[in-house]
Amino acid sequence: MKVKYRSNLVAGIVSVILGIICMVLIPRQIGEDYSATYGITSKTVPYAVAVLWIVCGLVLMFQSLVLKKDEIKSFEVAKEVKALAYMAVLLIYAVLFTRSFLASTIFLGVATLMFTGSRKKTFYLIILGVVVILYLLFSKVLHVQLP
Amino acid sequence: MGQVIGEAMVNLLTVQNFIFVNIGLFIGIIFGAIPGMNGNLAITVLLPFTFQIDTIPALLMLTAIFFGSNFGGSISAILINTPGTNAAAATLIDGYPMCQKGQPRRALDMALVASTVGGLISALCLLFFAPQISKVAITFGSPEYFALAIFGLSVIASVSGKSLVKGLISGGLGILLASVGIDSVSGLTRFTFGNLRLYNGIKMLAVLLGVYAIAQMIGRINKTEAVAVSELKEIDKDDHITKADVKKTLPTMLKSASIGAFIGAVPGTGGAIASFIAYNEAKRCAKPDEKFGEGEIKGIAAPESANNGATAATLIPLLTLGIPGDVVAATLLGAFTMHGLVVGPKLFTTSGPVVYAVLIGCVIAQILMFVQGKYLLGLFVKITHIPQDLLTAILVVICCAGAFAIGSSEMDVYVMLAFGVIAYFMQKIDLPPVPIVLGMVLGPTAESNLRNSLVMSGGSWSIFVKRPICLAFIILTFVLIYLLKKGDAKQRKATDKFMKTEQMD
Amino acid sequence: MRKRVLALTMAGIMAATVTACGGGASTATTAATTAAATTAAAPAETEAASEGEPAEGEAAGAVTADSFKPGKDFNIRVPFAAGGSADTISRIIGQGLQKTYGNSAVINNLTGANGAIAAADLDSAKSDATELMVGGIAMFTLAPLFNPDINLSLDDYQFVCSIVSEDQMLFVAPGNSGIEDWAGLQEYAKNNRIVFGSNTPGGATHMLQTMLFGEAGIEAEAVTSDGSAKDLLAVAGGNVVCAAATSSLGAQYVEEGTLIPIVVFSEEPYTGYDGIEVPTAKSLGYDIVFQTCNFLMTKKDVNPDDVAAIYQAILDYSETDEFKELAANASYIPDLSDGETVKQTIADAAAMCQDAYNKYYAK
Repeated sequence: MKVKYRSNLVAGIVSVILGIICMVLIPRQIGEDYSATYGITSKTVPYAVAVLWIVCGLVLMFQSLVLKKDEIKSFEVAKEVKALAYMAVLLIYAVLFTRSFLASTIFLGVATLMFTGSRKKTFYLIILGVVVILYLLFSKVLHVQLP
Repeated sequence: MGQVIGEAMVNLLTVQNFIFVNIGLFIGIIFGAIPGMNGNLAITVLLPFTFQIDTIPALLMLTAIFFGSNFGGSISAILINTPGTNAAAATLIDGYPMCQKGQPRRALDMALVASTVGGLISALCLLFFAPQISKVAITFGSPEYFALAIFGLSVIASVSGKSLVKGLISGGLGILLASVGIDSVSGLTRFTFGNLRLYNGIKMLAVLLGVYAIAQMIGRINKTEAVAVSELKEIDKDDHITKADVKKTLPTMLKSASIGAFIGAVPGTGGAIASFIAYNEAKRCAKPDEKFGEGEIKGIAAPESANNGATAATLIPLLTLGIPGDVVAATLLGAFTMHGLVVGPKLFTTSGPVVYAVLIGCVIAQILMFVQGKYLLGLFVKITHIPQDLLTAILVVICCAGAFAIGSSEMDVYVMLAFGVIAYFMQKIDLPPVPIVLGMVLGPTAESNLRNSLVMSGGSWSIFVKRPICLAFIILTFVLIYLLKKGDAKQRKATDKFMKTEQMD
Repeated sequence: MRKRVLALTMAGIMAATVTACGGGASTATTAATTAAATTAAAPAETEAASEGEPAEGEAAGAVTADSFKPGKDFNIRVPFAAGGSADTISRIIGQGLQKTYGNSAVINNLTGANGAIAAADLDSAKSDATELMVGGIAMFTLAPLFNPDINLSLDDYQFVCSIVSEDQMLFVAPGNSGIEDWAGLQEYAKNNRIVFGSNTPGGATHMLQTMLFGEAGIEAEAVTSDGSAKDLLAVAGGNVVCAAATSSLGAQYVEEGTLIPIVVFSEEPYTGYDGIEVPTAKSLGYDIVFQTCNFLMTKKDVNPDDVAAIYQAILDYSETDEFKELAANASYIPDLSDGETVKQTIADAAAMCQDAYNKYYAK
């Protein structure tokens, strides 16, 4: 099933929303400066970016709705669901990563192969080997302490 | 100076040095080419070993790793659209499209030739003019750095693709990401959400890996991403660089090398700024049939030449002032110190023969890199023959290990994965990824130097027009933006005309 | 190939010599075998000379270096970027431990949050004398004041020894500003703005200069950077009036004549530069004493005898030629005071920083 959307309009809306979120976050995340600032404080540039996002977002929405200058794009629901499922895999990986690099990364490698529809058994073995080699290379040779 | 060079040559031209330079280049290229690993890792790991060998071969090897890894970063940028270093992000704009069109070898060869040209010119400048150049570089203060950063940010205009507005949104994201962590002017924490691990900010390499590598993986999973070369097209029979190519790009390479040498010589700047500015300049001068962004060969020559040129030139402030241009250079600095080279203005007088041996070695290393590159590229291109699904899985796994290795922190892995997801959605609404790199590299420089400049001037904005170098950059920025927009319009007209004549034939 | 044979021969000779000497044979032969086993570039050449001493032959002290037998490699966390002077010095110390005990000393650069991240990593490790960390004085003095997320306490750790401690001093460029001494700066301040180079609020050089100018009643503002090298460059380039930096960083500029130090923040005047004696802040009427100090530390509940053994190992290594050469190259003047002294130094500095914070930074 294909869903159509207008690129500029969606980008514009997203940009405005993010800009507003940013403006709300700034006072909570950034404190007051210790010394003289001459008008440009630690909050100035983040505020500027937030304003930039809101303005750009509005311009995009204007371009799309008023100037009718837009691109119609579409996506397949089935494909995007698959992408979302893969993102869930990445999330699981992130959670498991600190427990054990070896186990979680093998899981990730195998999952990736499965998602790309790979059937060859040799590939699965290869990815297993690659993860093990990486683990040894990084922890023994490069002295990077993988979890 | 002649006598010192003579002595340096005697020390330099030995078999041992030859071997170590080649080892360094080889290791550097491999490390740079694998996404997630970079020259820093190589230098840090090999540093203890270098104490067992003499100073000159040790320093030559480490410097060779430095050069090699910069070139290696371009290899992965071209072949798999994943930059190995920040600077390589400029190369992939035209490098990857050329690869997709079935000419990976040509793209890689161009990168190699351009790197060598840029490096040679820059290394020769280094050799003859280092002390003088550093005297000028000393005068660079906060206003100059600010102007340079703004100049660099204006490049966003030319790498935004179709929509400048969307490019600005991406650039803003880059600037915001760079502001996470402890503010370098006020010492306050910004956007750390109470998490200690964010104090040092978000690592650029983690974002790069996520935006380019992981986002592409997700795209490949559901096959919305264009398939890679092996399935797209037969490798073009004409997939090799020609004399005509070199002749055509020579002026671009020379100009870009100069840009690279100049920017690299400024303390604290690196290849990334140089390669983007050079790319911008090459695009500005583009003829109607040169389609930048779609696999134009000059689009590879310019950033590569500038990047390697800047890499060599970055050794000037490193050696004469002890100020490194990027993380890898900083590690190199430590290596020099531990081997007894006391960096500073007196370096050339106290350790003349050793320093000149290293500098001349840099020149020779460029040529050796060209030779090694030729052979290695043949091997690397074979990567495009690996079946898509396996390649995707292997790359994901390597990136995860590499992301962790950046700072031995799992936070970088999380950042990489998060940005992979974010970039995937950004792609859906046509938000370009390249401006993120520009924003992250230049945003902090622009912001901190703006604020420091105002402190220096006591709040007066006129400081930016009172200082000559600063004023020059600002004027240059406006002129270039104007010319770019005018050139764009002119190009569009000329392209339309060109297309019409094509159709008529 | 020849290198490999050479390495093996030297290792063999080394092993024979040490076995002949008797004491400490086991650790030294482990060194010999691991050395030969790694690569052709094994540490054979320079070692044959100095290898004989460290393992035995100490003075009458109750604890000797070899009373500690490490069960695994040393893991030294360094909260500084690879390549900087602090990192370089930490690597030299690591080299010493590696030479003495034979086990690798892995340097782990864990930067961030002024050392809090490295400390958190240390906290999660086993309590063993091989789990170490290099700390900077800012960890316990400045960082907790400025960042409420950082709660590092002196009592949670045991201090092996200090590694380096350097004086901070104030530099000016007479060629740019005409200032030659403190009186000259005070005079200059009457008609000119004082802009100084330093790190950010929360950093040592910022605090020192804020305190100095605060007590002298001079209005001054900071232009910040991420390293004292850049601050000194800014002074030399005429972009700021003065900057604070350690003695080693300023050395090359002083030698060249571009910069001169006018105040030192320590108890004694500084005489390390040829022909110059730098007056203390105290002698000018400002009681500000602060030394940048890096030290080796470990978890609180590690066996104190093991800690003492490692300290002894470091002391022994510092007598060797190899150490002296490495240190000279890195312009590193070691200060290897014991753990108790370190703890006291930090406690005193913390008190001063707390006062300064209350006076100049708290809102």
